[in-house]
Amino acid sequence: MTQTAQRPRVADIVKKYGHCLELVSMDPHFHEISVGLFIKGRLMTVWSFSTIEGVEDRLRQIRDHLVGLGELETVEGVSNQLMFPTEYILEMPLKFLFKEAVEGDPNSPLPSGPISASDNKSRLTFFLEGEQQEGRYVYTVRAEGEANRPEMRVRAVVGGFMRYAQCERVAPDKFVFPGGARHDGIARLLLTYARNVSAVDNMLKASEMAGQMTTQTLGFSQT
Amino acid sequence: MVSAKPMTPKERVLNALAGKPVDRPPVANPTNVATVELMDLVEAPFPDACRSAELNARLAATGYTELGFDSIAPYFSIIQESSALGCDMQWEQKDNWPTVRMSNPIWKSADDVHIPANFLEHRDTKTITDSIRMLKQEFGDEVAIIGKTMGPWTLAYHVFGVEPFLLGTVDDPSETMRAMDALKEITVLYGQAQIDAGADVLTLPDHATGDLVSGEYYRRFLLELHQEMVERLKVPLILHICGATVDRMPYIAQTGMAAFHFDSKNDPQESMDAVAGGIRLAGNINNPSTLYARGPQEVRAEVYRALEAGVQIIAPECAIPLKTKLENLLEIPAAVQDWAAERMDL
Repeated sequence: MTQTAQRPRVADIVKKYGHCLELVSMDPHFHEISVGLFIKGRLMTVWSFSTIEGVEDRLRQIRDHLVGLGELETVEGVSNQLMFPTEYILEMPLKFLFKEAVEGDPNSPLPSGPISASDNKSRLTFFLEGEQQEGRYVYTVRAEGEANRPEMRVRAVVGGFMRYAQCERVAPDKFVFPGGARHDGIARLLLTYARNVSAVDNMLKASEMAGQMTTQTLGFSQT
Repeated sequence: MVSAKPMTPKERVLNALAGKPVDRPPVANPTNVATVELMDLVEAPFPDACRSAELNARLAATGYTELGFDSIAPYFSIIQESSALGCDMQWEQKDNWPTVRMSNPIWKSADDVHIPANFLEHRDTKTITDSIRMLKQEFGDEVAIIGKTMGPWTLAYHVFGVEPFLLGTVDDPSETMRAMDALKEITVLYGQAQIDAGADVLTLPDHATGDLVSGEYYRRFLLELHQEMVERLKVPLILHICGATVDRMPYIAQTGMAAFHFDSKNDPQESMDAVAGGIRLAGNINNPSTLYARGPQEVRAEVYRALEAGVQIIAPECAIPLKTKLENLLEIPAAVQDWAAERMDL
């Protein structure tokens, strides 16, 4: 039973890489290994306890995908580390980004062009544009298409950014990220979540229940 | 009671279960502390780790070797016996628990209950007994090895289905008692097999949960059966029941079991008051909110709260979520050690 191969000690890894911000339990693109995003200050590490051959290349691929999606900073000379570009760490968006970097198609090109997403509750398409205003980068949500009271949907999208990134609403259709920085990559990904908060919340709740042993999940409950 | 002599993890657990002095409260896992990361670490993923003794032992050992718990518990789930009885199984995947499809029960009445001739040789029961043998060989004198044998109430959910079984307790209580009497033999048989394999302690989950049945139900249907288990299984027994159970704790305290593994739905101090010294408590660090979703600081606070209430054995309240972050599990023994250094007068 004793494994002779050298393997990392859990306590050493936690001490070295810090807090595990997000854990994906099964990587669909590499032997269903678990992959975690650890964070210590602004330094982030993509890590897996798996020692399957090729894991380092996969972690590098996830790191690079994460950097591309979120417009984050690569740590040179290391294959699995990256930096958040500002002092204010956007934890919840990082969780979404990491999940996308692990579970998304590694061969698909990074999104580019205008930041937009179609509404899944109306025929609207949302566009996100930003500009520097008084030392802060202000994003404006704009909607195109046919819908009753589109301003309500725009307002709801801004509410989604407030919910998932602690953004500040500066007008019914405008928001800034905490610290006032520009985060186009994060904004692009978050727009797809912000447009439908209730569905995303339900998805998050379902995801949390997976792997929990409770009276409900065991079927030993009336609820 | 405090022991000045440093103890091995095994001594610590066994002493705490016997109400004897300890150098510090033990950190145990009467249910399970396996996670997806630990599965990767030792290449023993679910469901294979529930069905292969070698993988099972490798994964179970990490609770001690990596997390620093004072015990090793190789029976991760609650379905090994039910699989051997022929229940319809859903083995799931790495990040989810194997379950019994209780909507497709195998038996209808007490007369149907029988133990298959090869029960202890079935792949899924033998996985645990063989794993215990391996663990005993490697860690026997050092760490407490905790086996698990499902109680008759839980087995009844699996073999009869939850709803038919519970309706039966109302319609025909004597039939329920006959079923319990028949099913308890499975509990004893599998428990004894684990003792023979080297288990130092047995957890006995019997899900008369607060969500489904009352404390009075516990007294009526299970108290005497659990007292009988204590007479027949000659190792310390830890009863496990999920949910709000304060209303049945005074009865549980009369079972003679060594400890009750209790849920975070019960306040530690209220629970200590309810058992009134009649049984020791193990628990009750919250799984879904604290260990899964929060951080080490919140874990530490819950550990301290349980210790301040006098809970004798610190443990997660139930089998932990498979995606629990390891930093939170490492914090449990660290917090116990710090508490002991601060508060225990050696």
